Amino acid sequence: MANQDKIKILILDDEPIVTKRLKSSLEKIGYEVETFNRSIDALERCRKHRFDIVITDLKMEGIDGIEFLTEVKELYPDTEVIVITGFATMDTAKESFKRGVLDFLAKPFRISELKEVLHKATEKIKAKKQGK
Amino acid sequence: MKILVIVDENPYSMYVIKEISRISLNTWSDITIMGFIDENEKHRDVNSTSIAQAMVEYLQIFSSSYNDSFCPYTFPKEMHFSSLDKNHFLLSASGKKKLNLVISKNEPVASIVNKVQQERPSLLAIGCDKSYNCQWKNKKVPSTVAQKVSCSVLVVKETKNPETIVCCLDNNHITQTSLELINQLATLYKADLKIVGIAENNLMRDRVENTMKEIMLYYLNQDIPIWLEVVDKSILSSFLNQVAQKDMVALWLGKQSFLEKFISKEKINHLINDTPSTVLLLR
Amino acid sequence: MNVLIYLDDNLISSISLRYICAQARFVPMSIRPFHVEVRGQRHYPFGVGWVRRTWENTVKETSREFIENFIKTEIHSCPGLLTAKIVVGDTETELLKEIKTGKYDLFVIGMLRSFGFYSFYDFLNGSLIKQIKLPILLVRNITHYKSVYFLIDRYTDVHAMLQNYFSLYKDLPYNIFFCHYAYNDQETNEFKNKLIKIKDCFKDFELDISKVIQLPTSVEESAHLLRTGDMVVASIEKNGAKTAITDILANIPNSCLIFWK
Repeated sequence: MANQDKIKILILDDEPIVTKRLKSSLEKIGYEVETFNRSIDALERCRKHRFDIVITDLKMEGIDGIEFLTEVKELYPDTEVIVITGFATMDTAKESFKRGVLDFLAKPFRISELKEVLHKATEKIKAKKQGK
Repeated sequence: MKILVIVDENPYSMYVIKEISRISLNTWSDITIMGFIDENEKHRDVNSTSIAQAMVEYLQIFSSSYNDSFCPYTFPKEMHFSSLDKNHFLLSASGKKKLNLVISKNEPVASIVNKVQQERPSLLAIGCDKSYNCQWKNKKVPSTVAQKVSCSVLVVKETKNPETIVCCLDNNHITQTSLELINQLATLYKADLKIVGIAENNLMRDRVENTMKEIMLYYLNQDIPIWLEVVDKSILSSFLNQVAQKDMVALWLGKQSFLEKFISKEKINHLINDTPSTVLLLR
Repeated sequence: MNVLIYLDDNLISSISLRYICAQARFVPMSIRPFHVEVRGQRHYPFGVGWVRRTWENTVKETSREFIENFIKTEIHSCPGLLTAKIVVGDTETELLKEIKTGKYDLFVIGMLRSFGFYSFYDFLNGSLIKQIKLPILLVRNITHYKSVYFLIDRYTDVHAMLQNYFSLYKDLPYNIFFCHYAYNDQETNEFKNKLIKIKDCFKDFELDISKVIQLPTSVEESAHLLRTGDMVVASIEKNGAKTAITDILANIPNSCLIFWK
């Protein structure tokens, strides 16, 4: 992928082990990835910069994942949001979809599962771009 | 999360379906439910076999747990298995998430091991019931499969909420995946988490303490209360027996696990086959 | 409150230090970490006279560095935490000597809950416990519950227990619950007769407690219910005798504050 065509992904998870693992796997397949472990930092970055895809955890100190993704969706309705969560409940799944997330992945998941969802997101983004 | 569920026609398979439907309500997992045609039904039309009928019933039970429109699966009106190849049949209820029912004519244990290698699920769930002696057509499928596959295995005994998930600590390797799996189950059951370290001759090795501490800090960071406890290796067996009467027992059994040395295969088989508690083998 | 806490560089010391520091956020206290370097534990020669004194000083300094590093890595801030006191010798003897200086109101020590060895009773029957009068906070796990459970039976002097508790923890903003254990109906009835008196005690201490929780007759079940308290407060005999109260304390996974009868 040429640099300007690269899909930009923001990953937010309070566990550094998760963000580190995802960043290296996704960069290998051509995505441009920025990672954050604190929602406040991720939100600040989102306010300044638009990402094509946001991958976020839900249970976090301070601004939780639902608040975070709500604000991201308000700022950039076209940004595709994927929720990853280690403490999934029926309510969080429902709440996430109500707020327009593309998909909901409960941990543990294989990178291949996330790649599949990212492929879906990328296709959607490309289709939107071509439509414009 | 990807789950592979193994079923037969016995009542314990109903328990496992009920348990997995509860897990999927929370986690929206991709699920494959797999069953096997009995030797004497191999020449019949797949849809008239007892396993196909049981699996259709399981799918109905599964769908009934979603009592509103908010469901990641699409349950078909026609519950009909169609041929994938000469030995495999599929009934798909996939929607936003995958839900596939697969029937195989092949030998169960080898097929399950293959399926795990192909699909790489995070969890394999299988039912087992003390009163049926965990006999799957006279073969100890759950315990054999549990020992052979590379993923974590949940052996469901009956539908009940454990108050505590007792996790016996492997002192050299705790995978992030196994912690995540425990977290999902603790969330589902609203269960306490107890992390058990194993001492030898009443002394804790530094590496056991270090791993216990790492886990404690992991949960402190998550703001989740856990209980730490120590058991001496010499009485681990009676401890597990006691725990397996009411709580969920979770054991780390990876390749690098020393628990495999502490707990013999026979002991694991006993936990799977003869105790009333659900057993989670973590990898 | 002046607290003496025994520390090694191990898991249970980490737990007890974190636990008492969490309380120190609410309760004004000075916390003295205390560590005994056991003779011959690390590789130092034995000796006599000045050789021995020099050796002991070296051991102390090495241990001090060890324990201070341990404290630094364990906890970023702990109100009232003093510098560690390190001595060389036998753990129980040195601890006893320190406690007998009379400088402390509470002794804190950690003990991991164990199945089948070194039990709560081994702890109670140890020579250290037999010789001290100080209340003990036995820390087992880190909890963040906002309640304190007072474990009582028909023999408990509730007034004395409350007095002892408030002399240490009047600033702890946790809810107090009274939990009564009775083995049979007769004990329950006897307790009912005492209840009016107990409720008067609550008034004396300005406690807004309308009822006393009745625990199940099973010790294990009682212990299970009590686990949601940040600590369980009890008053027990020092002779190490087994009672329902000590059995419950042996079974709880959370910390307990022990006063001596």
